[in-house]
Amino acid sequence: MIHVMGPVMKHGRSTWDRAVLPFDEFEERRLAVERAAEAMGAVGVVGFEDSHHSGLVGYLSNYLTAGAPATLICVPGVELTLVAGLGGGRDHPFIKGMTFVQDVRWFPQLGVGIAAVLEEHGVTEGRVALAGFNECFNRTQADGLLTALGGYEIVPFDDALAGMRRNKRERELGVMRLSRAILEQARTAFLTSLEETGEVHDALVVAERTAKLSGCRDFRALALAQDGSLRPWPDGRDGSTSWSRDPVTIYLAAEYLGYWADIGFSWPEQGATASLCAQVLEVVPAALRAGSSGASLRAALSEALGTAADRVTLEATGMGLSLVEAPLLSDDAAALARGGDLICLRVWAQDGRALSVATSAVLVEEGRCTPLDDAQPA
Amino acid sequence: MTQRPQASDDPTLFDAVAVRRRKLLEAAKASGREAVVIYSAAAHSMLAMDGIWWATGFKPMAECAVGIGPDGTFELWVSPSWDLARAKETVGEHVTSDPDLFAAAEAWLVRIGLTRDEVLLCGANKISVGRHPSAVAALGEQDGSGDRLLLELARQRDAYELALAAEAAGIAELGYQRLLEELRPGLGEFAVVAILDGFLRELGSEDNFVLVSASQRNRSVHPPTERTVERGDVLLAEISPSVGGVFTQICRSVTIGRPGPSIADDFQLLDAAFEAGRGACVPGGPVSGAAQAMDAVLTEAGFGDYCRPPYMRARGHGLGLGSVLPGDVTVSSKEIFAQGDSFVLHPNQYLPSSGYLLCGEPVIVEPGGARLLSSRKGELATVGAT
Repeated sequence: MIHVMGPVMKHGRSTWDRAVLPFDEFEERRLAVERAAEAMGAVGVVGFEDSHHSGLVGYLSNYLTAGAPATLICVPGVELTLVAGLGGGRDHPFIKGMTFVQDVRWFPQLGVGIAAVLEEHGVTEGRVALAGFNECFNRTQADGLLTALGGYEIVPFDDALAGMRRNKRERELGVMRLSRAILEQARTAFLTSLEETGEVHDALVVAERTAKLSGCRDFRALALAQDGSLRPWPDGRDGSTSWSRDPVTIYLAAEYLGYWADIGFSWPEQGATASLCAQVLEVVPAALRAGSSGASLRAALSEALGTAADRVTLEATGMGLSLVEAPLLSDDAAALARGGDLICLRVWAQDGRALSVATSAVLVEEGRCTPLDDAQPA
Repeated sequence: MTQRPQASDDPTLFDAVAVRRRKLLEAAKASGREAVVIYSAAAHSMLAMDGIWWATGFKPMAECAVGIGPDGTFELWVSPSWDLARAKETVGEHVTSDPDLFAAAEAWLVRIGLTRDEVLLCGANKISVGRHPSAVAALGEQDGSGDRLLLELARQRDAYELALAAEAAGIAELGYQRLLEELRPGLGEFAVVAILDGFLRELGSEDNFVLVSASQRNRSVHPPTERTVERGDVLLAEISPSVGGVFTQICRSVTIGRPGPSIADDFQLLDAAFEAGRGACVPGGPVSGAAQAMDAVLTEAGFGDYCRPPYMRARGHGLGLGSVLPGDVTVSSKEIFAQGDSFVLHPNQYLPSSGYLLCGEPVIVEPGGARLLSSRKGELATVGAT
């Protein structure tokens, strides 16, 4: 599965773009969360996230943490409460500019603070649903939190949230189209620089600068090394990796307003592996529809390509607020595509030291899938 | 094109990490354990240590673990599998990929004939609740003592790490100087960061923690927004590049146009606070003492009420990915400075006349007080004065 080197801090443009993601968008999302909570008998939902694990906080509030963990407390009929910042409220004026939530707080002891907010909102007992709990805390932190919330019945909200995030809303698709457009600009800048300098590292610097000047909050890259392996870029100390120049194979990913897009390309575009990638991106979308599994997509590939399919690695996963999210068709044998899924197809074709990559994002419908650029919500 | 600072070629990473592993193993044995397992979730933070990076020189991209046996031999278990070549290039042939790192560690323990009780786990605080059951199944319940032991041991930085820290500081200063040449009214905060990032990449930095904000009166320093820089603004920049996994930080304030008298005076006050704090950073001295020394300068000037959140956060902090001790420089810290402690010291804070200002340098604790790792202290800079 795709992995990229995460930075210690996402430090590109950090904002709430009301034109692209207006307040009513978040109101609709909140209604969906409250309906799901009600269905499971929960009187409140508490979501946690950090810069490595996106979750309920960004989905409901637009606040995207750059580093420090953030918590969102959602009680039906009451203003949302955001617990965020590195400490003591210094960061709160900035945080309030990134979200419509204006009840922003910080507590030295998170669990005690959450319990106090719930009580303040009239929730003194009953079932409270947690999202992001398993990813954002270690055992010691988790024990402290659960002790502080000992008066409540704790249930997980992760599956419910994942279900909502899978079914992309039109405004989410719109942001992802913008993210992809920025990456196209970055690709063009990369290739122009490569032609001028012949240096992969320098061209990637230009690509990153282009993406960030266009407003990306985060930018990641992988590049093919001369030994045929894929490496994260930057590699630490310039010159320590010899990047492949024939072909140049690049994978770029960028986050814009919280939403990810990725793009893979090889240069020159001709050659057996590039041709194989192109074939895969014809065969797989033709086979992908609601009900498809990773196995069914592999079967379609084998049928169409024969033994050439053995040289192909196909990834088919969801994408959105995370670069990789549910459904993990290519990694989870039980996962099935369903209508409304936004699936990113990443194809790697290798032949000796030659490695080509190509990507496509498609929206799954009942009997077919359509490219993201054309897609309307299901 | 600016020349990047050159790191010392001597000592080598290979030698440095071998010594680190030996010291860690000796410390583990002194605590009654025979072997060590270090875990990383690869969720890197400038304010946290990564034990895998420290012990092997390999900066993981995903979940990763290393086992160090009683005889000092080691095995690194890497994910994803396609990152194996990069890991081997760094650490040699002692690397395998395994989709279940904890199972790999458990199997390794069986192979070397040890029980769970005989292994010290470092990085337990990196194991998420979701992964905790697998960790316990493989390595048993751990008390977390390995995390503190690793931090203390790594606190004694070797020549290799110090060379990287100095190189990172040089890159931060060069990147800042080049930024001053480009900085002008009309640029968005995010564009300033994009330009700065590019410079730092060109100079050899692989990661960067950066806060850049501009305002007529900054309330704090924060990630960049779309706000454009205008004449009369003070632009704040925390520039924290990493080289080879070692982070540094310089904190700079720039006026766009000539600074008003209060800004210049307030900056001088913070500079005086920095010097007071620097003098208190001595081996054996309390970390809280450095914070108190800085606060005292501000209090004497009548700003005692501003020496607390939300007007400031900390007077400095450790820098990963090595040991982050001495931790946050605050009046409530219980830590004691050790010779060679390397961290950023910064009296950054809000003052009523000027707003938030930055003034800080990476330092090393020595008997006479903190020595700068940067070539010189930052000054209040001005662009667009004409």
